[in-house]
Amino acid sequence: MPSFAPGAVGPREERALLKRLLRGDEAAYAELLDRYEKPLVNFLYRYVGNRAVAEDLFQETFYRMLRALDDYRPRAGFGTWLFTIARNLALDHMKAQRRHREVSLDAPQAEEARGPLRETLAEPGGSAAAQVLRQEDHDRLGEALRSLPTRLRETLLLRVYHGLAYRDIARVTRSPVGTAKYRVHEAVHVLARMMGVDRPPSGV
Amino acid sequence: MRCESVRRVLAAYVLGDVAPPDRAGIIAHMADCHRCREEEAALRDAVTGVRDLPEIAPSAERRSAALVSMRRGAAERLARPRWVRTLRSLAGRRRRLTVATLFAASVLGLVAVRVLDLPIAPVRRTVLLAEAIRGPVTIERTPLDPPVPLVPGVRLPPGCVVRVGDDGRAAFRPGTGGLIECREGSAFRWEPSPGASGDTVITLYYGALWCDLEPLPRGRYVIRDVRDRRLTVVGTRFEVVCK
Repeated sequence: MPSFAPGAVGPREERALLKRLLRGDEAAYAELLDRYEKPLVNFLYRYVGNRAVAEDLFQETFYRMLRALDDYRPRAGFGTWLFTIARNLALDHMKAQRRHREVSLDAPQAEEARGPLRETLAEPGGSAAAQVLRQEDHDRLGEALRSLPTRLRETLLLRVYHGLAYRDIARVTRSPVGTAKYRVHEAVHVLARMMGVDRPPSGV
Repeated sequence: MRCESVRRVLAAYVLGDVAPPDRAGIIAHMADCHRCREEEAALRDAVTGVRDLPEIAPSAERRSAALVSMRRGAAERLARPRWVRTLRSLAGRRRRLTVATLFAASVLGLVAVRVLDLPIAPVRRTVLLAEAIRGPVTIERTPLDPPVPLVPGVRLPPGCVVRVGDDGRAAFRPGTGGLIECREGSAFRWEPSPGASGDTVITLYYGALWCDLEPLPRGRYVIRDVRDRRLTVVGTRFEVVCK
């Protein structure tokens, strides 16, 4: 799971960081990147299913954020705001893709996604067989995730993978808190059903 | 708990979103129900799988590119005139500004109502035709033919008889302290009549409520009835407003 803990950074620290960003402090840019690059890239990657696109959108997210810094409302944390920008960019990208029919959203991206994941998954400690099994599980999960409806996928990732509070998920997805909660629960159900299709029946 | 109700909340349970009393019920049910236990295990696997998804990190080039993008974004922001930036930053606080403005407007409104004795917004707006007057409404003109509507401020000459509407009900005689009975929607007419002398106080009522007329600035009147509702006189019409 990416090292993004929404509660870890206090509002005072965020205000101080905001001031430095407003002044154009270069060190503040680096600090912001350190804090949010991994969560954002991973979120975007899971969202669009393509690493190169995810990295492009990640870059664009930070550009937009700095350009629109005057519009920032401190009532939500930086993380929530960045996720909101990133999600909007990802949605725009997916809409554009659908409009222009450039690529299929499913098969080619799923194939492409396996490359970097395999690299990341290679754990020096585990046996080769265990690694293969684990890789298969991850592939199956990745495919199931990609076939989840976008609304369910995004809320599930924000809650379970990134650990955002429901209140923040509601802000990012612009939906009521109850809806965000319902979507996460529904996503878990759907995902478990998908994963269980070829799961061997357990003995009672 | 039954299987159906347990399964409905099982995902919430796995994610820790279930309140302790329900949680206890679910645990108790699952102790005896292997199907729900299986379902719970499947959900837990799904959650764990997502939680343990492998992490990717942007390459060093991408990080540098992101820094360049950030500088470009900041430069574009700083290229805007300062007043534009200030306005945008203020617009970000528009919700707080709106709340503050509404609060200030409410306070000012209350002060205006108290100081200027303005009528408060009507709750029930019933238009009554000149039907509830008590106070300094006295006889002045006589005779008038044809009869004119009775309005606040009309002075009736001594000895007048005020009649109510066209139904011929006469309930008031100057000097006797009598009453004018009126009904909602009825118009008043009066006829000069010789007899008693001197100004008099006219008391009107509508329905079963008695009212007192209090003059307000700018030719307006407030009538209070026994329920302490305020009736504001507007021209020849009264509007019921509540305190």
